[in-house]
Amino acid sequence: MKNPVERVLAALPVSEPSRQLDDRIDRLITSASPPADWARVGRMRVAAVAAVALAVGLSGGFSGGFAASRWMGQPTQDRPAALATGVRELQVVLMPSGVRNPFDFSVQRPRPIKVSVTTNAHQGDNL
Amino acid sequence: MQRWHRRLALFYSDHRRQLYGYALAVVRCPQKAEDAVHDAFARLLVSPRGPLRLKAYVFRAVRNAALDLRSREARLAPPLEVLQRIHTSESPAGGPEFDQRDRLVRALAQLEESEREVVLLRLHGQLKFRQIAQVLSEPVGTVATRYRRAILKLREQLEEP
Repeated sequence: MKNPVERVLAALPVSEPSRQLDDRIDRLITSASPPADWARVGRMRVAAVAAVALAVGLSGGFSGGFAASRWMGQPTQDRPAALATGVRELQVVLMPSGVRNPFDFSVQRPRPIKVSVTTNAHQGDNL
Repeated sequence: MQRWHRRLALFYSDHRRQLYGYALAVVRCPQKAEDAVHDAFARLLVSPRGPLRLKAYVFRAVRNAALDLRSREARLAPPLEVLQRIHTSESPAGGPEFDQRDRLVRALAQLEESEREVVLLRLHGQLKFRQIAQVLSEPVGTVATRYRRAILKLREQLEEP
Protein backbone atom coordinates (compact mmCIF):
# COMPACT_ATOMS: atom_id res chain seq x y z
CA MET A 1 0.00 0.00 0.00
CA LYS A 2 1.51 3.30 -1.10
CA ASN A 3 -0.75 5.63 0.78
CA PRO A 4 0.46 6.45 4.33
CA VAL A 5 -3.14 6.59 5.54
CA GLU A 6 -3.68 3.06 4.27
CA ARG A 7 -0.53 1.87 6.01
CA VAL A 8 -1.59 3.33 9.33
CA LEU A 9 -5.11 1.99 8.95
CA ALA A 10 -3.86 -1.47 8.12
CA ALA A 11 -1.72 -1.41 11.25
CA LEU A 12 -4.71 -0.73 13.49
CA PRO A 13 -5.18 -3.61 15.91
CA VAL A 14 -8.36 -5.62 15.54
CA SER A 15 -9.96 -7.13 18.60
CA GLU A 16 -10.14 -10.88 19.02
CA PRO A 17 -13.39 -12.80 19.18
CA SER A 18 -14.01 -14.62 22.43
CA ARG A 19 -13.00 -18.23 23.01
CA GLN A 20 -16.70 -18.98 23.23
CA LEU A 21 -17.10 -18.18 19.54
CA ASP A 22 -14.18 -20.46 18.69
CA ASP A 23 -15.79 -23.23 20.71
CA ARG A 24 -19.16 -22.66 19.06
CA ILE A 25 -17.67 -22.84 15.57
CA ASP A 26 -15.65 -25.91 16.54
CA ARG A 27 -18.75 -27.66 17.86
CA LEU A 28 -20.67 -26.65 14.75
CA ILE A 29 -18.09 -28.15 12.41
CA THR A 30 -17.64 -31.27 14.52
CA SER A 31 -21.37 -31.94 14.69
CA ALA A 32 -21.75 -31.33 10.95
CA SER A 33 -19.19 -33.99 10.12
CA PRO A 34 -19.29 -36.86 12.63
CA PRO A 35 -16.37 -39.33 12.49
CA ALA A 36 -17.04 -42.21 10.14
CA ASP A 37 -17.97 -45.49 11.86
CA TRP A 38 -15.81 -47.72 9.69
CA ALA A 39 -16.76 -50.88 11.59
CA ARG A 40 -20.42 -50.15 10.83
CA VAL A 41 -19.68 -49.36 7.19
CA GLY A 42 -17.72 -52.63 6.94
CA ARG A 43 -20.57 -54.63 8.46
CA MET A 44 -23.04 -53.02 6.07
CA ARG A 45 -20.84 -53.83 3.09
CA VAL A 46 -20.46 -57.46 4.16
CA ALA A 47 -24.22 -57.74 4.67
CA ALA A 48 -24.89 -56.22 1.25
CA VAL A 49 -22.46 -58.57 -0.48
CA ALA A 50 -23.92 -61.56 1.37
CA ALA A 51 -27.46 -60.52 0.39
CA VAL A 52 -26.53 -60.18 -3.26
CA ALA A 53 -24.70 -63.50 -3.25
CA LEU A 54 -27.67 -65.20 -1.59
CA ALA A 55 -30.11 -63.68 -4.08
CA VAL A 56 -27.96 -64.73 -7.02
CA GLY A 57 -27.54 -68.22 -5.61
CA LEU A 58 -31.22 -68.65 -4.88
CA SER A 59 -32.35 -67.36 -8.25
CA GLY A 60 -29.79 -69.55 -9.96
CA GLY A 61 -30.84 -72.56 -7.96
CA PHE A 62 -34.54 -72.05 -8.57
CA SER A 63 -34.21 -71.28 -12.24
CA GLY A 64 -31.79 -74.16 -12.65
CA GLY A 65 -34.14 -76.52 -10.88
CA PHE A 66 -37.18 -75.40 -12.82
CA ALA A 67 -35.29 -75.43 -16.08
CA ALA A 68 -34.00 -78.93 -15.45
CA SER A 69 -37.51 -80.16 -14.70
CA ARG A 70 -38.87 -78.40 -17.79
CA TRP A 71 -36.12 -79.68 -20.05
CA MET A 72 -36.94 -83.20 -19.13
CA GLY A 73 -40.68 -82.70 -19.39
CA GLN A 74 -41.20 -83.71 -15.81
CA PRO A 75 -43.29 -81.97 -13.15
CA THR A 76 -41.33 -80.17 -10.46
CA GLN A 77 -42.27 -82.56 -7.68
CA ASP A 78 -40.79 -85.45 -9.69
CA ARG A 79 -37.49 -83.61 -10.19
CA PRO A 80 -35.32 -86.00 -8.14
CA ALA A 81 -36.44 -88.87 -10.33
CA ALA A 82 -36.01 -86.82 -13.46
CA LEU A 83 -32.52 -85.75 -12.42
CA ALA A 84 -31.65 -89.36 -11.99
CA THR A 85 -32.32 -89.99 -15.68
CA GLY A 86 -30.01 -87.16 -16.81
CA VAL A 87 -30.60 -84.27 -19.19
CA ARG A 88 -31.43 -85.47 -22.68
CA GLU A 89 -32.35 -82.38 -24.60
CA LEU A 90 -31.96 -78.66 -24.18
CA GLN A 91 -34.02 -76.12 -26.09
CA VAL A 92 -32.43 -72.71 -26.51
CA VAL A 93 -34.27 -69.66 -27.82
CA LEU A 94 -32.06 -67.02 -29.39
CA MET A 95 -33.36 -63.46 -29.40
CA PRO A 96 -31.73 -61.05 -31.82
CA SER A 97 -30.07 -58.22 -29.89
CA GLY A 98 -30.23 -55.77 -32.79
CA VAL A 99 -31.67 -55.50 -36.25
CA ARG A 100 -29.17 -54.59 -38.91
CA ASN A 101 -31.62 -54.54 -41.81
CA PRO A 102 -34.85 -52.74 -40.85
CA PHE A 103 -36.75 -54.45 -43.70
CA ASP A 104 -35.78 -57.92 -42.64
CA PHE A 105 -38.75 -58.72 -40.41
CA SER A 106 -37.78 -62.32 -40.01
CA VAL A 107 -34.94 -61.52 -37.62
CA GLN A 108 -37.29 -59.78 -35.21
CA ARG A 109 -38.96 -63.04 -34.27
CA PRO A 110 -37.43 -65.43 -31.76
CA ARG A 111 -35.88 -68.34 -33.54
CA PRO A 112 -35.95 -71.55 -31.51
CA ILE A 113 -33.15 -73.96 -32.11
CA LYS A 114 -32.58 -77.28 -30.57
CA VAL A 115 -29.34 -78.30 -28.98
CA SER A 116 -28.61 -81.84 -27.94
CA VAL A 117 -26.72 -82.24 -24.74
CA THR A 118 -25.14 -85.44 -23.60
CA THR A 119 -24.15 -85.65 -19.99
CA ASN A 120 -22.39 -88.13 -17.83
CA ALA A 121 -24.84 -87.47 -15.03
CA HIS A 122 -25.61 -90.33 -12.74
CA GLN A 123 -28.14 -90.77 -10.01
CA GLY A 124 -27.37 -88.52 -7.08
CA ASP A 125 -25.12 -86.14 -9.03
CA ASN A 126 -25.58 -82.50 -8.25
CA LEU A 127 -26.41 -80.70 -11.47
CA MET B 1 -14.38 -34.75 8.42
CA GLN B 2 -15.51 -33.86 4.93
CA ARG B 3 -13.17 -31.80 2.76
CA TRP B 4 -15.58 -28.86 2.63
CA HIS B 5 -15.91 -28.79 6.41
CA ARG B 6 -12.14 -29.00 6.79
CA ARG B 7 -11.70 -26.03 4.45
CA LEU B 8 -14.19 -23.99 6.47
CA ALA B 9 -12.50 -24.87 9.75
CA LEU B 10 -9.14 -23.83 8.34
CA PHE B 11 -10.56 -20.61 6.93
CA TYR B 12 -12.11 -19.73 10.27
CA SER B 13 -8.86 -20.29 12.17
CA ASP B 14 -6.99 -18.09 9.67
CA HIS B 15 -9.57 -15.28 9.49
CA ARG B 16 -11.47 -15.38 12.77
CA ARG B 17 -10.37 -11.92 13.79
CA GLN B 18 -11.24 -10.27 10.48
CA LEU B 19 -14.60 -12.04 10.27
CA TYR B 20 -15.53 -11.05 13.79
CA GLY B 21 -14.35 -7.46 13.32
CA TYR B 22 -16.35 -7.12 10.11
CA ALA B 23 -19.46 -8.62 11.67
CA LEU B 24 -19.06 -6.26 14.61
CA ALA B 25 -18.83 -3.27 12.28
CA VAL B 26 -22.06 -4.32 10.55
CA VAL B 27 -24.19 -5.42 13.48
CA ARG B 28 -22.57 -3.08 16.08
CA CYS B 29 -22.95 -5.40 19.04
CA PRO B 30 -20.24 -7.85 20.23
CA GLN B 31 -22.66 -10.64 21.13
CA LYS B 32 -24.61 -10.24 17.90
CA ALA B 33 -21.38 -10.18 15.94
CA GLU B 34 -20.44 -13.58 17.35
CA ASP B 35 -23.94 -14.82 16.60
CA ALA B 36 -23.58 -13.56 13.03
CA VAL B 37 -20.32 -15.45 12.48
CA HIS B 38 -21.85 -18.54 14.04
CA ASP B 39 -25.01 -18.30 11.91
CA ALA B 40 -22.96 -17.76 8.77
CA PHE B 41 -20.91 -20.89 9.39
CA ALA B 42 -24.02 -22.88 10.25
CA ARG B 43 -25.44 -21.93 6.85
CA LEU B 44 -22.17 -22.58 5.04
CA LEU B 45 -21.81 -26.03 6.58
CA VAL B 46 -25.23 -27.05 5.30
CA SER B 47 -24.36 -26.11 1.73
CA PRO B 48 -22.91 -29.00 -0.27
CA ARG B 49 -19.59 -27.27 -1.03
CA GLY B 50 -18.20 -23.85 -1.68
CA PRO B 51 -16.24 -22.22 -4.47
CA LEU B 52 -12.53 -22.67 -4.98
CA ARG B 53 -11.78 -19.24 -3.50
CA LEU B 54 -13.52 -18.95 -0.19
CA LYS B 55 -12.74 -15.45 1.00
CA ALA B 56 -15.48 -13.40 -0.68
CA TYR B 57 -17.94 -16.27 -0.23
CA VAL B 58 -17.48 -16.49 3.54
CA PHE B 59 -17.36 -12.73 4.09
CA ARG B 60 -20.58 -12.43 2.13
CA ALA B 61 -22.21 -15.12 4.29
CA VAL B 62 -21.10 -13.28 7.44
CA ARG B 63 -22.44 -10.00 6.05
CA ASN B 64 -25.83 -11.54 5.24
CA ALA B 65 -26.09 -13.10 8.70
CA ALA B 66 -25.05 -9.81 10.33
CA LEU B 67 -27.61 -7.85 8.32
CA ASP B 68 -30.31 -10.34 9.32
CA LEU B 69 -29.50 -9.83 13.00
CA ARG B 70 -29.14 -6.10 12.59
CA SER B 71 -32.61 -5.79 11.07
CA ARG B 72 -34.04 -7.08 14.37
CA GLU B 73 -32.21 -4.49 16.42
CA ALA B 74 -34.27 -1.51 17.52
CA ARG B 75 -31.27 0.68 18.24
CA LEU B 76 -27.77 0.55 16.79
CA ALA B 77 -24.71 1.61 18.74
CA PRO B 78 -22.93 4.69 17.39
CA PRO B 79 -20.13 3.88 14.91
CA LEU B 80 -17.44 5.49 17.08
CA GLU B 81 -18.25 3.26 20.02
CA VAL B 82 -18.14 0.17 17.81
CA LEU B 83 -14.90 1.15 16.10
CA GLN B 84 -13.24 1.82 19.45
CA ARG B 85 -14.22 -1.66 20.48
CA ILE B 86 -12.94 -3.21 17.24
CA HIS B 87 -9.61 -1.41 17.36
CA THR B 88 -8.69 -1.91 20.96
CA SER B 89 -4.97 -1.95 21.66
CA GLU B 90 -2.65 -2.55 24.55
CA SER B 91 -0.98 0.85 24.23
CA PRO B 92 -1.69 3.11 27.21
CA ALA B 93 -4.19 5.95 26.84
CA GLY B 94 -2.55 9.31 26.29
CA GLY B 95 0.58 7.96 24.50
CA PRO B 96 1.47 8.95 20.91
CA GLU B 97 0.38 5.58 19.53
CA PHE B 98 -2.92 5.81 21.33
CA ASP B 99 -3.51 9.36 20.05
CA GLN B 100 -2.86 8.36 16.47
CA ARG B 101 -5.14 5.38 16.76
CA ASP B 102 -7.81 7.49 18.38
CA ARG B 103 -7.69 10.08 15.62
CA LEU B 104 -7.94 7.40 12.95
CA VAL B 105 -10.84 5.72 14.63
CA ARG B 106 -12.69 9.02 14.97
CA ALA B 107 -12.03 9.78 11.31
CA LEU B 108 -13.31 6.33 10.32
CA ALA B 109 -16.44 6.90 12.37
CA GLN B 110 -17.21 10.05 10.39
CA LEU B 111 -17.21 8.20 7.06
CA GLU B 112 -20.45 7.12 5.45
CA GLU B 113 -21.29 3.57 6.38
CA SER B 114 -20.86 2.26 2.84
CA GLU B 115 -17.40 3.86 2.65
CA ARG B 116 -16.40 2.52 6.04
CA GLU B 117 -17.48 -0.97 5.07
CA VAL B 118 -15.28 -0.93 1.98
CA VAL B 119 -12.31 0.37 3.98
CA LEU B 120 -12.74 -2.31 6.64
CA LEU B 121 -13.03 -5.09 4.08
CA ARG B 122 -10.03 -3.82 2.16
CA LEU B 123 -7.66 -3.06 5.01
CA HIS B 124 -8.65 -5.54 7.67
CA GLY B 125 -10.16 -8.33 5.62
CA GLN B 126 -7.37 -7.96 3.04
CA LEU B 127 -9.95 -8.38 0.28
CA LYS B 128 -9.34 -7.19 -3.26
CA PHE B 129 -11.78 -4.83 -4.94
CA ARG B 130 -13.14 -7.70 -7.02
CA GLN B 131 -13.82 -9.69 -3.83
CA ILE B 132 -15.38 -6.71 -2.06
CA ALA B 133 -17.64 -6.26 -5.07
CA GLN B 134 -18.74 -9.88 -4.68
CA VAL B 135 -19.40 -9.42 -0.98
CA LEU B 136 -21.44 -6.26 -1.48
CA SER B 137 -23.03 -7.29 -4.82
CA GLU B 138 -21.88 -4.07 -6.42
CA PRO B 139 -19.75 -3.23 -9.45
CA VAL B 140 -15.99 -3.26 -8.96
CA GLY B 141 -15.72 0.31 -10.21
CA THR B 142 -18.19 1.56 -7.62
CA VAL B 143 -16.29 -0.18 -4.85
CA ALA B 144 -12.93 1.22 -5.99
CA THR B 145 -14.32 4.75 -6.29
CA ARG B 146 -15.89 4.55 -2.87
CA TYR B 147 -12.66 3.34 -1.35
CA ARG B 148 -10.57 6.15 -2.90
CA ARG B 149 -13.09 8.72 -1.74
CA ALA B 150 -12.97 7.30 1.78
CA ILE B 151 -9.16 7.36 1.88
CA LEU B 152 -9.19 10.94 0.65
CA LYS B 153 -11.61 11.94 3.39
CA LEU B 154 -9.50 10.20 6.01
CA ARG B 155 -6.35 11.92 4.82
CA GLU B 156 -8.00 15.32 4.93
CA GLN B 157 -9.28 14.73 8.43
CA LEU B 158 -5.93 13.49 9.66
CA GLU B 159 -4.07 16.45 8.17
CA GLU B 160 -6.27 18.89 10.04
CA PRO B 161 -4.42 20.38 13.01
